[in-house]
Amino acid sequence: MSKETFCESEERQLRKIVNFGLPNHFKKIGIAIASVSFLSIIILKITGVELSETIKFISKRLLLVGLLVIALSREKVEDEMILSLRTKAFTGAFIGGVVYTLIFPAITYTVRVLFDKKDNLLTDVGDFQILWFMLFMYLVFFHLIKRKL
Amino acid sequence: MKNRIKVERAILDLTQDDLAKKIGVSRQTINSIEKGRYVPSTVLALKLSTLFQKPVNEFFFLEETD
Repeated sequence: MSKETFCESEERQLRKIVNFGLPNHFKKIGIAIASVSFLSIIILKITGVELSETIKFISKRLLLVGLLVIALSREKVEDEMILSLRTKAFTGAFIGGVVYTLIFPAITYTVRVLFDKKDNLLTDVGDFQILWFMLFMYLVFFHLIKRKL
Repeated sequence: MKNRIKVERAILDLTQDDLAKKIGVSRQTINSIEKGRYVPSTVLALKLSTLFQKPVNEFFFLEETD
């Protein structure tokens, strides 16, 4: 394989990954998965039903899967403006995620000091928390920018 | 950047939806371009140029701030 052909095939592969998207109808499937898992997490919190850690773990991961499916689903007409909106929304979500990771421990620290809770003053942001936040921020940014344009 | 897409579209008697379908974008994209909220790529500008049968600089204009 010549150098040019190798570079071309590498570029094609990269473009495939960058332009990856699910068909539009996957958005509804994603919304259904995310809604069911979100409701189950809320209901479990409110009712205080003690379920196994496995169920909580699965619910949280299903919520992430649902949000990811929504984020990856294409619009009915996926044109260059939508791609530009996606880029802006991903950038916003990424920056928001980093800021959240940096600020969240400071907020929990302040709250715990104010309410005189001396245990676990410094807590880090968990993987689920940061991924959930970033995916959610992406979807919010995307729809806000889309509505404004 | 200013543009006169709306005028060119009117000359050809096309709705935003018709124009969008002809160049393979959404109606919202045409609306955003017309209102100057979105600057299209060179590819899209050239597609419009072919459709309007005019050079790009006859319907897209730079402003002093650009």
